[in-house]
Amino acid sequence: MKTKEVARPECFQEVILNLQNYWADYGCLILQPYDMEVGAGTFHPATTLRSLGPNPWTAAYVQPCRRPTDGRYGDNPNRLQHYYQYQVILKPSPSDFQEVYLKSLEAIGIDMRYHDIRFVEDDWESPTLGAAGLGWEVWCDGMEISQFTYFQQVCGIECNPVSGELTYGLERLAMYVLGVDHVMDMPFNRKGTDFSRTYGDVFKRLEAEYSRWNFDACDVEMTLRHFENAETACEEILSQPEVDTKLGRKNLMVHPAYDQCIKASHLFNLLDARGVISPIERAAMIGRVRALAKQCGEAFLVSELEECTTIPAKE
Amino acid sequence: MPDLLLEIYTEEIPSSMQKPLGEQLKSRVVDELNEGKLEFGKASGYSTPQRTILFIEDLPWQSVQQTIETKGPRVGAPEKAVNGFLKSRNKSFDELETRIVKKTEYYFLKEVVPGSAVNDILRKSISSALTGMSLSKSMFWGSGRTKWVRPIQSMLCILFDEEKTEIVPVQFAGLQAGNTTCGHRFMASGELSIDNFMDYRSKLLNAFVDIDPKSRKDRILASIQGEIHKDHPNLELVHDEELLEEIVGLVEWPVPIIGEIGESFQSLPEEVLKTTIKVHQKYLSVRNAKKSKITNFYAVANILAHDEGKSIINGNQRVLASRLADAQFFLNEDLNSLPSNLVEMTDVLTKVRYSFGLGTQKDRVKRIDGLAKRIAPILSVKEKDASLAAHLSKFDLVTNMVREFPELQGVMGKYYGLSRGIESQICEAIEDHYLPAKASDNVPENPISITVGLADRINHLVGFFLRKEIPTGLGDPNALRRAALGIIRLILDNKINGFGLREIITFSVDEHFRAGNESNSNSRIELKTNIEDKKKVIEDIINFILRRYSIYLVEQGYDTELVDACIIVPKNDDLFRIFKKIEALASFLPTNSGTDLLYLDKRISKILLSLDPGKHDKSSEINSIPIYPGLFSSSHEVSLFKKYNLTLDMVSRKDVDDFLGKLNEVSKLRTEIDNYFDNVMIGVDDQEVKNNRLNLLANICNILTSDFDLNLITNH
Repeated sequence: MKTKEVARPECFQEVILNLQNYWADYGCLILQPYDMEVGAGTFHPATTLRSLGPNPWTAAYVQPCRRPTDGRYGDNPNRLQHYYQYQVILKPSPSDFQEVYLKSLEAIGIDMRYHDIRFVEDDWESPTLGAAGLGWEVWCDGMEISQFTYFQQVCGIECNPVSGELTYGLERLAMYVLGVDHVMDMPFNRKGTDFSRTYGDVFKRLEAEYSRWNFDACDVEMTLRHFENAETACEEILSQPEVDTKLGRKNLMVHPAYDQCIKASHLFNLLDARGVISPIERAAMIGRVRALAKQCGEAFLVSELEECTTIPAKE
Repeated sequence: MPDLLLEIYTEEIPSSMQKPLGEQLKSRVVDELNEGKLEFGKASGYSTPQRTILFIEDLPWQSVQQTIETKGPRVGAPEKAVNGFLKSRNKSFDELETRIVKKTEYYFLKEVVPGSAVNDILRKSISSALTGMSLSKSMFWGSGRTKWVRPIQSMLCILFDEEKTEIVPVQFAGLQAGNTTCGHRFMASGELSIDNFMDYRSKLLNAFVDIDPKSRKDRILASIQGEIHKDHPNLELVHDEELLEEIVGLVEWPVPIIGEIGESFQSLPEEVLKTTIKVHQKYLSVRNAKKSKITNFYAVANILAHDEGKSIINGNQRVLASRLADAQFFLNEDLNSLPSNLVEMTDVLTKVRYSFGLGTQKDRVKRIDGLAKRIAPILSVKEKDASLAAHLSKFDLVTNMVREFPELQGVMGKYYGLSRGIESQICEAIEDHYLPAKASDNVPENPISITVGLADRINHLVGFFLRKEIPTGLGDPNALRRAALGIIRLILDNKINGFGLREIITFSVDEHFRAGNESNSNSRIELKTNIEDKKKVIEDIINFILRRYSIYLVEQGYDTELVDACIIVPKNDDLFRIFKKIEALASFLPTNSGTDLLYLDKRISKILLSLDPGKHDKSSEINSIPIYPGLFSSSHEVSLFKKYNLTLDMVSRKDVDDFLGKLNEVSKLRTEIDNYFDNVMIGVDDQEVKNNRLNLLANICNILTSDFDLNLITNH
């Protein structure tokens, strides 16, 4: 692939746009964020479910992520309870995966001749998704800018072929590229016009509100009930008969069930932020979400294999 | 003679795995070659984050031809058998030879296996070695089904001498080896075609790759020392071999760059600085001798940047500053919010669980306190000091700093303790009661630290044993072996006399049962052991510790049998006393008296075993079996009995810990024993007389059984 000359980004949204363009040129489907609260871009069904089974899949998207425990009322220079990830999934992982990734850094203005880029051991694991992979955190001059993973297992199911997953922490990466020290000071769009806004203009207030909600106000009993409802719903959806009587054929409701699994996972994160879960209960709840993810993954795989809608592999 | 060069070029392999990977590859290939009876010279390994390299010298081009001889039927066997033998080997009768084996003449066939090209042998051997690797952590990638530590990009495998270079076309992971490699990821481009090892080294050095970890380490040190010497005479590198080894595995071309720690962060506790610098950022710390503070750091980059590293060091300084700002923030939060009386913090510990079924950290601290008070007098520690240190031993677990930097547990406790005016010895105990945690750790000498350290570990062992969560096999998820080893080293290194494990453990077990009865929903303590099994659990725990003790001592170079002879003795529970026994026995056995002692012990044991098996089991009670002098009929019996009584008396007068003295007394019985055996018939028909004689011998054997089991020694 040829590297296109691209303009160096001057604001947060240009970092995102450059990544979008780069991965679109690579051939990725540019998807949109999933419309649910998730803790990481991996939860998007375009990653979790599509990484299962034999069919090739190449996609990229921005995903807003919520990590209630990381809220700091908008005061901390680089900690947020809501932030953006840029997520790339390449299945099967290409043999020049690292090279392709490094070129994406050039596309957002990182000049490899001036920076120290390193692949630092970091085996990734998502206990709630029953997912694990081997790979690295990528450091640029000592700062983590991406997570680089070869999926080995998702929803408790071994991945074959293996997907390569890239996750860029967008705020942190953009702060670095733009030379900004406090996330709230980062230009969201270009500076110097009436429309110019900083990241703080957009999000400062939200960070404060959500921090209060996450840490103090969120009703524990109700959240726990919601968690249990989501768990029940997920299992009930999956236990429905395979055949849709209206359609007169098989129509397994994997994605609706998986939505409930995502919901349960986020509610668990909320409860965790409230500090009401003991380490033991914590492990048990993680186990419950994982069990849901596993059932969804297995159901997805069954329908995927039955349909055999094999999309031709990318060159 | 040709040499072999193999390079497996991969995506970045974790630093800690590079050496084991190279070692295993080397030994597998060497094994394969040995099995193929191929002779060769030296085999050496090199590594970088992206390369696993094997270099084998002095191989032949051709393997030697071999003659294989097969034995056939004996001469004169039915024709059918002989023909069958020939047919199966596709040979004719003329080719048969005969030879006599064990007085019978047999037919033999000799077959000559010609030598083959070593290239071919290497190709097969290396492929088979690669396939047979057992990798603790490995992965699949792409659509392939081969596992390796990280994805393999290419392989170089050549066989060469001064005249020519051959590719050894090894196949693995869907790739075939060639004669090319590439240089540094960012500072070189294009393929490098390689003719031999010299060529490989020099071309890679020109392409900014130093394949030798040792040489990379030297480069780092030389560059740092050079720069410090020239530009920063007040600075000195804090040497950290472990970290240096790790860094060497993170770069192909090390470029150390010095950075500054912001003035405002230099006053952070040194451990906080070091943790952030080392653990999180993998920088080497630099101390300013004048200020006696850590003021700078070296980041080791993997690139010679176009701006001489300005951007790199700016970036690194920013990352470090942001991490240290976090630390500073949490530290200030803690200092502002901690109560002036830190003991109040114990109540906050109810929020943190210790382990499932063992209550909260507050419950744990309460139990440590009970044990510490019990142990204090043994170490001449004031009960009040032990109790305060125990109460403060875990409070830092709920501070912001420890939540953020778990590796600083203890360190922060000490720091906050000092800030609230707690006596320094007690603060020291908050920090180092966790030591020793690993083999290289020093053992604390402060009696308060020792007291709390022992209490913490005994409580830990007892709790998990009562929960029946006991390590099996290699796994030890709750670090019980480490706890046992900690107890051993604390007692041994500090020469603690009179620490009876049984009594202390019993106390702790009782505390657990009591807590179990009082447990409520807040601090649920659920033991999985019934009170009826109390005795057994106590013995299990002691045996667990003794087993670790025995392994530890053998690792320290003591003889296994000798250690067992001192440890496997009933009611043994004083670790330092056991050590004194081992020392005594080790110095006594090589002497003539030692030989006498073993001789008489063996001789008596043998006769007891043959004439009265089972009855004279080892007993821990001295003089437990009555002897009737009225039944004596020989003067030798009388004199042995006298000598026995004399010895018993002498032994009982000795200090209980004067093991050399006791051993020596008993060994003096040798003459009387020899006379006795030479002149007295033991296996007589009169049962009463026979038993009386056996009993006397048994009693002699038993003089030492409360301290030693000499029967376990066979190899002296």
